[in-house]
Amino acid sequence: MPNKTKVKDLMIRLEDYPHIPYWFSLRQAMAIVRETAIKFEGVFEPRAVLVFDEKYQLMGILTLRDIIKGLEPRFLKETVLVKQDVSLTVLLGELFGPNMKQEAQKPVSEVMSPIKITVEAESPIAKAIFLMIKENVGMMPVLQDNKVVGIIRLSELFTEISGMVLGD
Amino acid sequence: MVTALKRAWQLITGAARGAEPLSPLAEKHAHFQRLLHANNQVLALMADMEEKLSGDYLFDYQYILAAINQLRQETTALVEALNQMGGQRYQDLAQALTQIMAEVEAVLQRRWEIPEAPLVIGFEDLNVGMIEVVGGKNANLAEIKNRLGLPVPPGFAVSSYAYKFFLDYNQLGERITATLKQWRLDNLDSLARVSEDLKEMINAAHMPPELESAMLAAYDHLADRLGTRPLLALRSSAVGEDLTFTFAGQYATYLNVPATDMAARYKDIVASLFTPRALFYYKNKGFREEEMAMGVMVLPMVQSKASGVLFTRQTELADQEVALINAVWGLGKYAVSGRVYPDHYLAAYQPLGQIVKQIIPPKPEMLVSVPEGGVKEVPVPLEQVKAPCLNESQITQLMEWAVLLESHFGKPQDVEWALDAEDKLWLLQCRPLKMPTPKGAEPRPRLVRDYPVLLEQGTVVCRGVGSGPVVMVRQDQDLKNFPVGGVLVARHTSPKYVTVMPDAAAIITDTGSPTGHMALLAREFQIPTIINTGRATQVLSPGQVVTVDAYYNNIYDGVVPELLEASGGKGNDLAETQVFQTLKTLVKKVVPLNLVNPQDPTFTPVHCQTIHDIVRFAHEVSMREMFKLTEGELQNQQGVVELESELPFKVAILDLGGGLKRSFRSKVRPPQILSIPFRAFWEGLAAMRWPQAKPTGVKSFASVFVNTDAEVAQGAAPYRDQSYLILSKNYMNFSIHLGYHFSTVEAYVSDQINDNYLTFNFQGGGSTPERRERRVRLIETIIDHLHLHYQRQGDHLEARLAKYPAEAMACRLRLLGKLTLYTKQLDMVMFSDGIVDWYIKDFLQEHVKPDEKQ
Repeated sequence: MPNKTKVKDLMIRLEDYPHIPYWFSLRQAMAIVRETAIKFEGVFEPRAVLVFDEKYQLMGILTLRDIIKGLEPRFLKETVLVKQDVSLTVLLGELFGPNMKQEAQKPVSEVMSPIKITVEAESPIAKAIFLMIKENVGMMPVLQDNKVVGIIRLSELFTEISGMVLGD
Repeated sequence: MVTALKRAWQLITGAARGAEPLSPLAEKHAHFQRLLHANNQVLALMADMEEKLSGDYLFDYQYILAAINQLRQETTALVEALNQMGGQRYQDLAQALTQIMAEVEAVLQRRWEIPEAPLVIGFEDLNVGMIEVVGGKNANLAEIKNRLGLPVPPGFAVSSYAYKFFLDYNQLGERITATLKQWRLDNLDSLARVSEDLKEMINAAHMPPELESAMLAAYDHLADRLGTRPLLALRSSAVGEDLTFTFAGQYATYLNVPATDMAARYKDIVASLFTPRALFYYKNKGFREEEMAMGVMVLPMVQSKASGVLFTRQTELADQEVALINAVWGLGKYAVSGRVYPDHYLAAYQPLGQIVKQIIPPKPEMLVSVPEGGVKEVPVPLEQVKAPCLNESQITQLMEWAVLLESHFGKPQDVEWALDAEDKLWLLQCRPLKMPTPKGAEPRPRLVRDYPVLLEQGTVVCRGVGSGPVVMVRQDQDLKNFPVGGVLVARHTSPKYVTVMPDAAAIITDTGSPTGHMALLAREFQIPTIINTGRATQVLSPGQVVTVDAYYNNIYDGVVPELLEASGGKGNDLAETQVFQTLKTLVKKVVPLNLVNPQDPTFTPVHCQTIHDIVRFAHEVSMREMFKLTEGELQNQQGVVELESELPFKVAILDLGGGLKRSFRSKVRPPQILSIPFRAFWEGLAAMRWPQAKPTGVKSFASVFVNTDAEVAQGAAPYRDQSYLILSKNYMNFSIHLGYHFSTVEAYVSDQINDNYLTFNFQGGGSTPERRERRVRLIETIIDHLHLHYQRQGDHLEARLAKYPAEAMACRLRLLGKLTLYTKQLDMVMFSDGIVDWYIKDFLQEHVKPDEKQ
C-alpha cells in the first residue's frame, strides 16, 4: 500500500520549537528546556532546542543528551573508555561536582549536535525514514525553498508506520 | 614666529578644530546647548517670581522690570535656538512668544492714574468706594457718617485729583519722578537727600488759586451749616493709607487750624508724603510712585474735654469678646503719644458695655486747643487728675459703635473718638485694626515628638503641611481616580501631575529639580511639596496615612493635628499692594502650564498661552530634534571614526565636541571615550557576555525567519550590524543595529539636573511577532525597575526618563547597556510567557548590582 504522506504533513513547524542563539549558555538553555516541559505538558513535547546564529540560520540541535554531556565534561572525554564497561563510571568519581555551575556558563555551540542531514518538505516520508536510519539521528530539519521550515522526528514517523502495520 | 608655532601646534594637537566652521550637526548640537541653558534660566526666573508671591519676600517694581526683561531675553534666545535647530520650522512659536510678551508688556504698562474729580468734595457726597478719589481716611469716615449714621463731624475732602492739580500747576510731576529715581530700596544712603529735595520742592511750590478758593468755598459752606466759623483739623488721607496699611503716624496732622492757614497746612501735609519714613514705608510696602497721591481730610475741630482710642478687639486677647478703650483728658494726641498714661478699659460685648477691667492712672497734663489756633499743654484741674474720663453709659455707647463697625467692615477696627463739651461723643477716624499674627504662627519645634518620622530628607519646593493617604503614582494611568486629599508619592517629578494637584494634599518624590516644571506648578497650586527624598517610594506604602511637613522637611506616620492646625492660613500683608498685584497678574501670564502632555493634539505652538508653555514646548521639541539626528545624516559626514574594541560591534562615531579624545587614527579605542553618557553605556555593554566567534566547520541553514533581499524589498526588516553613534561631552545618540532589531539610546547627562534625560526606543526582531512582543514585555518590565516612563505598542517600546542627577542617569545608562546586549536575539528564545519571567529574574539577579537596584 503506497503511502502518500509527505514529510511536511508530519513535521513540527519551526515556530513551535524553542530557539536559542549559539552563544547562549547551557544555563540559559536549561531554563528553556524546563519551561518547555511546563508549556507542552500532555501535548507535543519538544525534547530539543534549536540553535541559530545572528542571522537566524539554523546551526544545530541541542538535545537533553547534549546538555548533560556539556555539564559533565568527562562524559565527553571518557566515553570511549566507559563504553567498554559501563561499570567503569565509578572511575569518574563524583559526578556533576562543584564545577557544574561553571560548566553551565559555556556556550551551547560547544555541545550542540550539528546538522548532519536535511529533507525536503515535499519528500515522501519513506525518504525521511531512510535518511534518519542511515545517519542515526532522531530528528532532522525540513527544507522548503532552501529554508528550514520545521523539524521531522522519528516518533511522528513511527506513529505513521505503526498505523500502516496495525491497519487502523 | 609665535603665530607660526602656534599654528603648527594646533595642527599637531587638533586644537585648531574649533576655528573651522562647525558641521551642521555640531551646529545643531551647539544650539541645543544654548536652548538648554536658556530653558534653565527661564525656569529659575519663574521659580523666583513665584517664590516672591509667597509673601515672605520684599520686592519692588524694579525687581519686576528686571525679571520680565531677563525672561524676555532668555525666552527669545530659547525660541531662536529651537528655530536654528529645526531649520526655522518653529516660526509660529516665535509668534506665540511675541503675543504673550505683548500681553505681559500691557500689564507692565498698566498704570494707576489719579481719577479726575472735583478738587473738594463734601462728606455727604462720598462713600467707601471712593478711596482713590479722596484717600482711605476720607472715604471711610464718610461711609460711617452716611451709611452707619454714627456721629462724625460734617467735613469735606480735598481730593487726590487736587494733589495732581497742585503738582501740575507747579510742574512738579516729572521733577518728583526724576528725584525719586535717585533712590532705590537697596540704597538707604540717598534717602535723606531725596526726601529733603522733595519736601523743598513742595514748600517752594505755589498753591493754585482754584484749589485755594475751592477749599475756602467749602469752608464757607461748612460754616453756614454750623452757624459758626470753626477752627479746623486737617489730616492726611493718602490713597494707599488705611487700605491695608495704616501708615500710622507717617503723615502730618494739624489741629485747630484757622481757615486762613488751610492752604499752608495743605502744602505741609502734601510734603509729608516725602518724609524719609514715609518714603521708606511706601516703597517697602511695594507701592509705585504714581500711587503716591495725597488727599486731605478737613473737619471742624471738636473741642474735646476727653478723647481716646477704641480697639474693637483687645489685640492681646484676640480670642476674648472684649474691646479696649483708652482715654485722656483734652485732645486725643496724648492718648497715643505716650505723653501721659491713659485710662484703660476692657469692655465686654456680652453683656454689651460691661467693664471687665479698668485702670485709671493719674493724668496730670492734657493737650488743649488755643482759641486763636494751635494747641498747647496745660495742667489738668486737680479734681480730674485721678478721675476716669468716661462713664459707663459712654463706654456702652462706644461699644455700640464697635458692634456696628465690626459688622459693617467685617473685621476689627481702630477708632479715634472725642467727647465734646456737651458730653457728646464724636467719631473722628476709623481704620482696620492691625491684629497681631495668631498664636499658631509662633515658632514651633522643628520636630513634633510622639509621631514616628518616616523621612527627613529632601528639598522643599512649596511650603505647607498636608496630610492624607499615600497614593503611589508610577505611570500616567495611576493619575486616574486620584482621591481627593491623597498624598501623591512618585519616583520623579512630572508636569502631568498638574491634573490632580487640585485634589492632592501633598506631593512627595524620590527625585526631581526644584526649578522643574512640576515644582513651579506645585507652587502655583500651593501644594506642600518635598522632592529629592531619595526613597519615599520605598519607605511609604499605598494607603498609609502620612503628614507632610513641607516647612521642616519631615514626613510623619499618621495624622499630626498639631502641624495641620499650626499651618492654618497666614496673612499676607503685601497681597493688596499694587506691585504685588502686578506681579501676581504677570505670574499668571508666565507660569501656568497648558501644554501638559506631549501626546496631546494641542501640544503645539498655537496653544502656547504662557511663557511656561513656550519653554516646555521648545524643550520637548528640541529633544525630538536631537533624536532625529540619524545615521542618514552621519553617512556623508566628515570626521566619522570607527570604534575599535574586543567586542564584535561595528560602530561609526561622530564627535560633536568633547565626546572623544582625538588622535590621528581613524579608529578610536574605548578609553578615548570622554562622553559622560556613552562611557556609562559602554561600561554596561562591555560587562556582558558577547557572542563568541561561530564554531568553525558548522554548516548553517537559512530558516524561514531569515529575510531574503526580496522580502526586505517588500518591507521586512533587513539584517544589519552597523551601528551609528553621535557624541558630545554630555550627549549621546546611539542607533543600534544588532541583527534584526533596532534600538536607539539617546541621553543628555550633566550636572544640571533640569537638562538630564534619556530616551530608549526598541523595535523589531527576527522571530515571530509573538516572540518579539514577549521580548518587549521583558524589556518593559526591566525598564520599569529602572524607573523609566514607557509606552508600548506591539513590539515597539518607547521609554523616557528625565531630571535625575548625573550619577543616577549614568547608573541607568549602564543598565541599559547591559540590557541592550542581554536582549540581543532574545526574542528567539521567548517561546512562552514563562520563559519571559525567568529571563526577567535572571537579568535582575545576575546583572543588576545591589546598589543599582531601586
